[in-house]
Amino acid sequence: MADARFYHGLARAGKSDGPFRLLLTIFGNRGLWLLTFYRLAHFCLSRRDYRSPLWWLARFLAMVGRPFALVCCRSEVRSDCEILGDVYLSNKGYLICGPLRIGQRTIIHDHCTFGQAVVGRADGRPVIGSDVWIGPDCIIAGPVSIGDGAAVLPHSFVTFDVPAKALVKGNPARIIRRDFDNSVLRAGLQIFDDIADIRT
Amino acid sequence: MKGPFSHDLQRCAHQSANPTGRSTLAMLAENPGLQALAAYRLGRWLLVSRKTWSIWPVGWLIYYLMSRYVRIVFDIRLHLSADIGSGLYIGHFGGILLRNCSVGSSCSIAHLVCITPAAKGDGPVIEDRVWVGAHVHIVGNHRVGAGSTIGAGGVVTRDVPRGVLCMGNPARIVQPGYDNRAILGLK
Repeated sequence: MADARFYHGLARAGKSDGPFRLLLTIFGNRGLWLLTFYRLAHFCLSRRDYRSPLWWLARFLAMVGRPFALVCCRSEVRSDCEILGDVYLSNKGYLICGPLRIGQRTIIHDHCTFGQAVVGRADGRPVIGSDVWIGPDCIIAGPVSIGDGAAVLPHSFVTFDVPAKALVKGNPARIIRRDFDNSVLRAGLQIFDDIADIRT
Repeated sequence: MKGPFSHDLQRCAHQSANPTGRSTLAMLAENPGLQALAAYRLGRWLLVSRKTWSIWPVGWLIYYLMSRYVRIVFDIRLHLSADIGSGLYIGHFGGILLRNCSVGSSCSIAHLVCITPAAKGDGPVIEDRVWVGAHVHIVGNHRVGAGSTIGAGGVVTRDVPRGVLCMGNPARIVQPGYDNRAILGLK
């Protein structure tokens, strides 16, 4: 329910509010369904009580949820990653998500890939901090960590540790601002391609 | 149809975590790329099967349904104009477009890969044993040499020689003489 409120706040920032609108948000956001099925699958991993019927119900729902997420949300989220608190996953889909941890209040847009690096790097999965904004079409690969409050602009490919409150852009990625406040980015679901757009 | 597709199945079994004790049907059921390849191989076989014209109505109907299913559900588009060699492995689902290009044997392709010709001219040529990472765009008449590796997020804007690792936008050669047989799952 906290997830739903977070989505609702983002999707209808500055617009009229009400319980009916909240219901519309719940049924209209495919990223929210994806997050719900991820939570069920994660619950199945954590508890191993074969005798309780609740476990079997959750396991069945998670089994349905993986193809459901693949078909309806066009995304894959590994159930063994930790998502702490409210996270916005895009409802446009094409999200292949296998990090170790995602922090609170992080916004992740569509066409993102997080996972192991295949080419020439050590094994390991990325760790994403809290209050991070990640734009569409980003790749984060390998055992890297994205610091709290960082922002990754669209179409970038991150293979190094990003410090906290940094702004990262490019393929391969470079740090273009330090001590960057990304609260403008995280206020809504608008996508900013360049730093000049953020100023205006 | 049987020859190239059995090589695809073999590649998929080698790439998966548990290569033994897996039936073909289970592998087909859980791998979207394999389903897309099944539809593509059926279509290519029907294109060259002049003698068995009697199965064309049923065959093309099955091809149409399969390709539609794969395109709508997983968004993998392998056009029949693409010339794909045997043993292609598609790692993830989603956003894959191969059109009017030539792909050699024993290649690997990840998700969100776009291999198409530019607005005018011929399509790209990809030789054998090439590993193509996620989010890679190869657009236009470029030639990717045998055994080379294109890292994730690369945008290929010129010809790539044999056996190199290239990455970035635009793609630059990071390491010449890179051996990609381990990540392709070949011996």
